[in-house]
Amino acid sequence: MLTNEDLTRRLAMWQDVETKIHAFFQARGFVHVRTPLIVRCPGMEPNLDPLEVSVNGEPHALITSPEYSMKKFVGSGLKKIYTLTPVFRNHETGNHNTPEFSMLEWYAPGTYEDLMNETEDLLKCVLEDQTSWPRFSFQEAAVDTFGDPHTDEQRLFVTRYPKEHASLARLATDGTYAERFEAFGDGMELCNGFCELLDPIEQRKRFVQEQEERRRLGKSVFPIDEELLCALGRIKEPLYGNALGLDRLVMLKYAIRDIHDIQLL
Amino acid sequence: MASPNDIKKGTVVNRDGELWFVIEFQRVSPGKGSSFVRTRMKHLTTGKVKEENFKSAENLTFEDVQYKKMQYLYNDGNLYTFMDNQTYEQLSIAKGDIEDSIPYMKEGLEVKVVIHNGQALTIELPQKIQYTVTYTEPAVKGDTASGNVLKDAEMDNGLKVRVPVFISTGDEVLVNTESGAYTERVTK
Repeated sequence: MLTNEDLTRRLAMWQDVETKIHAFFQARGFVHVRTPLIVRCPGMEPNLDPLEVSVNGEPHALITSPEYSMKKFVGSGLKKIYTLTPVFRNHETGNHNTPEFSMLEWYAPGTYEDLMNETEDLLKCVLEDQTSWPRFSFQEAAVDTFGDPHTDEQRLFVTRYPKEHASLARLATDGTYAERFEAFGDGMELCNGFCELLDPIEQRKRFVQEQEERRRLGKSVFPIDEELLCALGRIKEPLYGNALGLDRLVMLKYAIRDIHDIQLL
Repeated sequence: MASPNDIKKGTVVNRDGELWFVIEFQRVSPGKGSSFVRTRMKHLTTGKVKEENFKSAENLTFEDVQYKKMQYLYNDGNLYTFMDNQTYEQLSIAKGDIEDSIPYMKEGLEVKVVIHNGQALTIELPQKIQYTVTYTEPAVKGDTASGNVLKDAEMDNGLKVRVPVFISTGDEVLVNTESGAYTERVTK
């Protein structure tokens, strides 16, 4: 157990970052929402391992991200929303990874450019450092097969991901790249932002592919979230969304290299 | 054959006959693409450190190594000597093989000695080591425990670490041997 002073010190770091995040989004007219942690349809990405739980005898899982719930809120008519929530990913360990961590996600109507500018503003506000975050295209940043950029910058945005790395992002109107970007700081991937794919037919296609890939890998196959597909169909204007690892942002601000050194217990 | 998912700190990976000792690893599942294991590895004879990532689906060869708990006794400048507390057996390792660990060494420290084919290759430090602060400036009035205000401190083995302002000379603290950073104070 930590001493009172150490606990107070660590809490102060979290509180500093969280307070700034709440102030930032509330000043911009975002609504803070809570999303369920236990769901029937967790993230389908073949590389993620949700923690599976049985609820009243029914198979469920802990969320790997609040994304599906957030998009359902948008489908119900909420415009600008953000959440700070615990998320769970099994088999993730190391100095930057723990199976339980905290995620900041936010969604609003707007373009890819709007999202990058907003993310940069947020980072400057939380880090209390007005230095610009240089932007490099995927090619310029020489991103390797593991997703790591290779530039001389300590802090940067990698933008314009190739189509093959579109994930849940929309393709740019000229079809040459995906409207997706990531921010990196001190060698850590901080966030993954998209102009969201809203076409339920294309989304279903990608989910079916992910189910097949999970089956091939011998991993649990989860049902397609029909409610999510239905919600996507109701969203009429371009939507951006970003998922940012809160623990890593605290580490970046306070120059802490090991995620375990900011845990409270 | 072994899977990169089984990599741990201290695993010795055989890459085309060269032996690499895993110092640090992270299992990563990117938003898109297959999961992989990110490692920092040290070459067991040259001491060269490199970063290498392995896709989870790759096949690797791990060397069969033993990890023996031993206590650090002393050094003569070049050789560092350790003792098995059960058998009293002693062995020495060249300074160059444990260069990164030297600043953390202190008498009586328990480490894991990595032994391959009967030869001690290197040591693995505990992730956190407890030290006594032998000197740090007293906190200045007005400093608070909040945030991350740090000051210099010297440990009982000479190690220098930045510590929070509430730490005083004589306190026992834990230091993270991977980052070299202060972790927490030990309750007296």
